[in-house]
Amino acid sequence: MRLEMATYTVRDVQLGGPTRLSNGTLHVDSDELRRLVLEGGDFADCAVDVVRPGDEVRLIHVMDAVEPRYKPGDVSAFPGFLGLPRTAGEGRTHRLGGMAVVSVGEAVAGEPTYWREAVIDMAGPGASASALSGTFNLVLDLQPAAAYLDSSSPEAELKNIMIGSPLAQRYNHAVRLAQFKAAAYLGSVTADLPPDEVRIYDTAIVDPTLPRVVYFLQVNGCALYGGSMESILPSLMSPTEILDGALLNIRTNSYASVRQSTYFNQNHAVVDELCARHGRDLSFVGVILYPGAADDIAKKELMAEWAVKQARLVGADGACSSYAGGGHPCVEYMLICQKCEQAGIPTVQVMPETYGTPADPGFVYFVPEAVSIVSTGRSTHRLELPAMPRVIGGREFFDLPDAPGDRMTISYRYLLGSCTPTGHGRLTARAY
Amino acid sequence: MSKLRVVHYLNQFFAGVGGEDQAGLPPAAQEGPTGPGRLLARALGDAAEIVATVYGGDDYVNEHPDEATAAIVDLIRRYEPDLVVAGPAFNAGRYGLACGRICAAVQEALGVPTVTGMYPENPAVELYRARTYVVPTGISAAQMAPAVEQLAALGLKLARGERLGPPAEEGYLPRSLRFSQLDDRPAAVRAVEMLLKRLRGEPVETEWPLPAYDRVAPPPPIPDLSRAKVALVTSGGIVPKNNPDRIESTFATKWLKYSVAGVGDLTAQEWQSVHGGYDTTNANADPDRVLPIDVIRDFEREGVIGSLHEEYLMTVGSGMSTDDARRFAHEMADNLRAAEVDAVIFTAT
Repeated sequence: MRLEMATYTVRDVQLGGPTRLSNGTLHVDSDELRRLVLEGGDFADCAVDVVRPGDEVRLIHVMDAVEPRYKPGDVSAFPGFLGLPRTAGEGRTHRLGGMAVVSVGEAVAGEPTYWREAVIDMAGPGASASALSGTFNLVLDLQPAAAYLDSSSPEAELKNIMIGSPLAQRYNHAVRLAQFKAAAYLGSVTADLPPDEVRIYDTAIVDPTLPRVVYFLQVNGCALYGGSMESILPSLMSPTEILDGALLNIRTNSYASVRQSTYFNQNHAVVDELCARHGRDLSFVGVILYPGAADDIAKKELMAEWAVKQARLVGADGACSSYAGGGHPCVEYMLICQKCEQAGIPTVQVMPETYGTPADPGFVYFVPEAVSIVSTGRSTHRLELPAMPRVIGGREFFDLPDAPGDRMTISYRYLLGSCTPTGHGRLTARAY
Repeated sequence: MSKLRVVHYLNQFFAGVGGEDQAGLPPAAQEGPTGPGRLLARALGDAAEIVATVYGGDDYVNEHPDEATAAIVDLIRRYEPDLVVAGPAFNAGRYGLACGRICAAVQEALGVPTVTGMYPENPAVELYRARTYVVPTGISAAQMAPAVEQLAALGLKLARGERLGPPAEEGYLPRSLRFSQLDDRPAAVRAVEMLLKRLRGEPVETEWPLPAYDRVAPPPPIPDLSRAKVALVTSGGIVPKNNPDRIESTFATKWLKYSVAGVGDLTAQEWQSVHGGYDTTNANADPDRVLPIDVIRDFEREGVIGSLHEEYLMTVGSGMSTDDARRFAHEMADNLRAAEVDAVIFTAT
């Protein structure tokens, strides 16, 4: 598949219409944007803000972040959410580079909050921990419609503490839809403009003698072409599909440090790096995507076997493999490594260290074959954040005692994307 | 700029009091350096001075560990040190254990940085390497000079609160403590480079070494289960409805116990699961699925087991560090042993 990614670099965002891109500045008619977000009836209100890298602002209660995109033609940049789930990853896509739409806001009735808190500091030591502190962020501060706050509703019943009440699931879907509509609205300003840069991603094999590499992508809390990944078996996909909107975040109750935010999928660093090396050092023959995780050992075994079989079917000589984080997911994740190594497919693992005091080895599960691991940082490590004069997103944290604007000691677990298994960050962990 | 204050801990031999005959010596202190302390003082130079030497008999410290440690910490405290150096103990086992124990206690009780030196195979290394800093030394006091230099160099850095680099650079035994830090390259780049090396057959160094876990020896089997008092314990998060003691759904900071006296069956009205790491729908519909009170009561009635302990113990396993798990397990075991429980059925999720 061949994808032309046209980048339109954003050097500033200004509120005040008409919405257009002019000399690197994105002008946004915030009233029009707000009306677009409110039109579904899911929100009582939406405040629109712009925060810039270096601003002394702390975003809290972050839900998701998305890069504005536009695809000319009849394939959507957000397939399955806006438009039919047609195959992404080919043709031409426009991106507004250097910015993101970020959704923040309170939880609704029956929404679990024990992993919901996510922070982005736009300045200071916390800023080095998140890719999104380096983007111009257009913040949608969403207030849920009254119906979503009604805890007496039978739909607010919390049967499954991991995914939340039916009301919470619907609300999260509504938030994503609003976000993607906003992102598409902004992306469309590029329709007739010349880009700053075009990068070609072409998966055709250039040199058949180069080693063939697959990337195992363990997914948590995302929709695949708008559909649930719950019961799917590992699926071979083109790398360009991942970069082009096939995988979009839907779950907020997921560890901020490793949350698979839409932005990190659209700008997937491991996929991008393998694509960059394609035809030079390796042939990137596919992404094998699978959900993490089953609760059942037989299902885990099947998941791992199926994933490795797909790799063998495409003649993989080597693999990279990302860990989504969490308890159950670690089992099939490690089984895949074990079965690959035993099949003669060297596997480099990209792993956040989601648990453990400094003395704790930190593995939930491991196999002796897990000998080449790149660590994306230990979430439990704490850092000091300075006081911030401005906070957007809420008045109190869900589960931290500090006032959000105060100086505080906080673990990386709360900083959005700080340990992302997509490999974007420079955070790692070492033994001392 | 005033000199840093150092207290030096030695055993009876290096303090010059006596040999094995004095191994039972209770702790004492004297002003200034003595024995190898004089070499240490020279190595510390102008930056620091050894204000006191505290010493104790190796047998005394090992046979009265709590008393001796408390007494030694007390003696050390009086000198208000910026640093405590113990040994070096080389390969001497009892001395190494004493040095490790004292350093850990000083660190933890007084918050004063500590450093000691031992031969890497000294049995005390495994116990204390993460609770103080252990400089690797030669096997005997014939290597005193280089050991003292290393202790001084590392000790000064610790006393000044300087950030240490990795063990190999700074000259201490790896403590296997993992900390987050920024690398100069993103993870994606490091991962692909590591893979290319492996594909070329070149050696790579993992960024996250696999652990080696200790094994717990199982106790002997129950001779007669029909006379045994059995307790149920779970990490599956089963609590009375509405979670009265507010145990966390993840990263639980405690364990709890609840009475099941007279309870034959757990119902959805009176019990629930608050575990945040698995789909709790089925556990909430019938909590016996995670904590099988119904089945164990059948066994009790049928005489398969002697009796069910009137309480069950619980925590939430999601995100629990091994340190906490170990500590809770010891506490739970103490509680169950005091209640004369013979066996535990532990349900995990």
